[in-house]
Order: sequence, then C-alpha cells, then structure tokens
Amino acid sequence: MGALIGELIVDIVSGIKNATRESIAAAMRASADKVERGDLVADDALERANKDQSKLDAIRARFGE
Amino acid sequence: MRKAVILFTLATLGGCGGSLQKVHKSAYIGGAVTKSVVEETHKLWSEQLNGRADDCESSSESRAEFDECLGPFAHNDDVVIALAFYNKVAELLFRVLADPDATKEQILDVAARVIGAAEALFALMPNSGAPEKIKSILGK
Repeated sequence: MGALIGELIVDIVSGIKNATRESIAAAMRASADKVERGDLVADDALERANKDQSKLDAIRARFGE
Repeated sequence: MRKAVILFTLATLGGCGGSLQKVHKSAYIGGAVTKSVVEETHKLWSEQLNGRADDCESSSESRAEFDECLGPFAHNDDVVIALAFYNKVAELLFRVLADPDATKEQILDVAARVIGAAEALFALMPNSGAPEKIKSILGK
C-alpha cells in the first residue's frame, strides 16, 4: 500500500499526466493496513505558509505604520 | 473549481460506498491524493507570493502601497488559517482511519470535511492550478 501511495504521489508531484483513474483504482485495490499520518496532513505547506507570512510581516514592519 | 472538487469527491468517495473496508481504503486514497494536491497548489502559491513580495518591496514607499501591490497575496494570513484548519481535519481523518472501532458513517463524514476544507483553501489561491491537477488525476 505504502509503495503504491508513494508512486501515486510522485506522479502528481512531478506533474506526470499518467496519474489517471486507473492508477487510483489500483491503489484502492491494495490493502490499507497501515494509515500514515504524513500521507494525510500537509505539514510542509503550513510551515511554508507561516514562513511566507513572517516575510510579509517583516517587510510591513520596515515600512512602519 | 467547485465542480472539479465535487467530481473528485464523487470519484474517490461516492463511488465506493460499499463495505467498511472499501470505504476505509477509498477515504485513505482520497485523503492522500487531496493532501498531495494541497501541497503542490500551495507550493505554487508560495513561489508566486515570494516573487511578488520582492518586486513590491522595491517598488513601494509605504505599507499601504506594498499591500496594494501584493494584491491577493496580501491576504496570505487567510491562507495560513485555512491550511491550519485543513490540517486539523486531516489529522481527524488520520485518527478515524486508525481507529478500529470507527464506523463507515464516521469515516465518510470526516472524509467529506477534508474535501470541504481543501475546497475552501483552493478558493483562497486563485490561478494555482488545483482544478487542472485534479482533472489530470481523474484522467479528464
């Protein structure tokens, strides 16, 4: 299951057009015995968003009120 | 965009409303694919935001000018809140999928909330390519 999920995510991340309905169905047919938190929660995006916000706040602070 | 997300929801969840095991699998796959699209969509938003912030910093003379120059990126704080909310719901999906006593209805309810949180997030990031990514996943 982990390998199939990983393969599917790599397809999407690299922008490959082959991640079709068939590849999702193949992953669904596999067993989901172990649920991984990292497969579901977008921790990296939240960390990046907070970093971006800090940058905007720092620039605003330099301009003052 | 809304239609694309609904299509995605139907394809990943609605089409597999059979046994608990099938619902469990499809919710897991749906959650993993949604997370991947969220990550990629936000990466693009972040790249655009940083480029705009650098340009606007050099061309602006006040905070108000800077915010005006940023356009939609000035409201990145809303994206932070929407992402934090999405992660809370995704965490809930993780917990319910890891719970051996969770019912089919509980799994479907939380999975639908994940899709709703993702939809709200995508709405805050225009031109981020989410609909195209979802369509490519569906092979449309």
